[in-house]
Amino acid sequence: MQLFWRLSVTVLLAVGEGYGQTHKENPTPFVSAVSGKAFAISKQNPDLAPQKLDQNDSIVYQAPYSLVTSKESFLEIKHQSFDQLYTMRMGQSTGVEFRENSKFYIFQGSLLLAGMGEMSWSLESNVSKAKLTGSGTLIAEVIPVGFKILVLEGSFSTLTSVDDEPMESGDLVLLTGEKGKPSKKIKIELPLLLSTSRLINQFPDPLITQSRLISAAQVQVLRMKSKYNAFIGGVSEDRQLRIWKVPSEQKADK
Amino acid sequence: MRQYDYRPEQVDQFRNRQQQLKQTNSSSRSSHEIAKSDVGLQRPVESKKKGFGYQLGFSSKIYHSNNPLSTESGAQKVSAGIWENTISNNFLLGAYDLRGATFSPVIGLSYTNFTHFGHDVVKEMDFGSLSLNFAGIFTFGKGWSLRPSLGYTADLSLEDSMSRQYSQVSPGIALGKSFSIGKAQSFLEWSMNYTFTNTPGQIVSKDLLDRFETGLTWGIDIPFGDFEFSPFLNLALADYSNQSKTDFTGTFGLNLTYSITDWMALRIYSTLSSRNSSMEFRDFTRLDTGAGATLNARF
Repeated sequence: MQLFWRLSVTVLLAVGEGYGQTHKENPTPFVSAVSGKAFAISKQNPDLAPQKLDQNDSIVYQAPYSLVTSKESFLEIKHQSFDQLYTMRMGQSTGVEFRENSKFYIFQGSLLLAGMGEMSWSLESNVSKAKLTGSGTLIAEVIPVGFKILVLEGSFSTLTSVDDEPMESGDLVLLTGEKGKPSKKIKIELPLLLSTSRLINQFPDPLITQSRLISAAQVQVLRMKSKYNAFIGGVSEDRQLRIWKVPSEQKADK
Repeated sequence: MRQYDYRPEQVDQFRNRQQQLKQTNSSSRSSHEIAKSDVGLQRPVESKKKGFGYQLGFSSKIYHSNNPLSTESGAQKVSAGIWENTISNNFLLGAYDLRGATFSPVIGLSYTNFTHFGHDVVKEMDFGSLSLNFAGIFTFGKGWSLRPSLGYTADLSLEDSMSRQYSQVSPGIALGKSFSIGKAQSFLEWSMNYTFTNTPGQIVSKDLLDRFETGLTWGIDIPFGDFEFSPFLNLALADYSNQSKTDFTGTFGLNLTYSITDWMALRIYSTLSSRNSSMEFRDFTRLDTGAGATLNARF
């Protein structure tokens, strides 16, 4: 009888361990949505032909590999980093090198990252490198001096300096220079951003963080004091943020 | 003697709350007229840290009622005019993101003065009504909302040194859904509350008007130019705890509002109310028709 119990416990433990190991492994990233043309290119074996990505395709290459979208093309990848499932959306003409877990080298373009739990994102471009820790949804766009980061919901820290305040929903921050030094935060109108962003609206299914995006926008509306008659554009060569003034005959609040 | 358990100002209070939070119900996924981009349009805004807000309002309305005492028949069923002046204060105690839902606590404090004229029977019925209401409004995606609330109302006699004629405390909860139909914004709310009452002058020791109420309110705001047409319908069932009585009340209203500025509006309206009671001589039908002006300041 004692032997029976010992055997039972051993089998249960072995099954439990096996189950845990299976779920600790990172499953292969897969294409949850694609429109237009998108490709995966292996960096380990550059001789391999680019894999044209279709809906529900798994990315078969081992990291590092690159994901590329053409003009008028969008791609959504679902992946798991450690225990956290996250979604990555890529805009038009975007090139991203997927290094490991949540480390990306962005050649050009824009991407959206959304996760329900606490995560760390490493972003690198040819001029800048930044690490963001937090939970939520953000958009990162490559600009000549680094990255433009827009936090749509949640909160992220840059870990550049202990004095840096976390970036909250609605914050636009430029991360510039080799270490990704954060600029002064600018609050952006979230309902307008959400309704005009193709990284939000160009995909058939809502993001896993959709309800959080809506609540962040609703809270911003309730806290709103005023809107400026301007829109933020790109960054000029002398590292100045371009701001376009809206003609006064258009509806203005400030 | 008027019916304390019929509160014609209830729908106005409900509409005020709706108005204050109306802007939050707009969908964030709606397409925008302005050109889209991958990242989206980035317009800088200035926002408060927590979202504390204050609204001061004044409204005056004058209307004709075919049954201001809300009685079934008899000598007290007379036609008269009512002049109603309300000063209201709404404190928005912040807006909080619960990540998937928002929470906005609101405290409302208002005083309404009812002045009757046009018939001898109603001349001594003038009273003031003081209301204090606390509501915590949770809003979820797709226009759903949940509103636990606690309200206190006291009717004060203007003829008798502001003595209290009647008071009630109502804890309640309401589940709401708002949706857009083109430019129009519609809402549906189901509410439940228990009302503890106190009527100092009554002969019996029990508070006869203590009651459980459940109600369904539907309304739609249809804007056209500077006007807004807002019909609404409220159906309520009240079951009285200290007497064998169940009432069914239906209220249908039509409002036409003209906004002169952001802070000033004029309106004409008509409200038809009808109560069907399980107790004899408690039924009534009442039609109020009038016009008013509203001033609102937000800080």
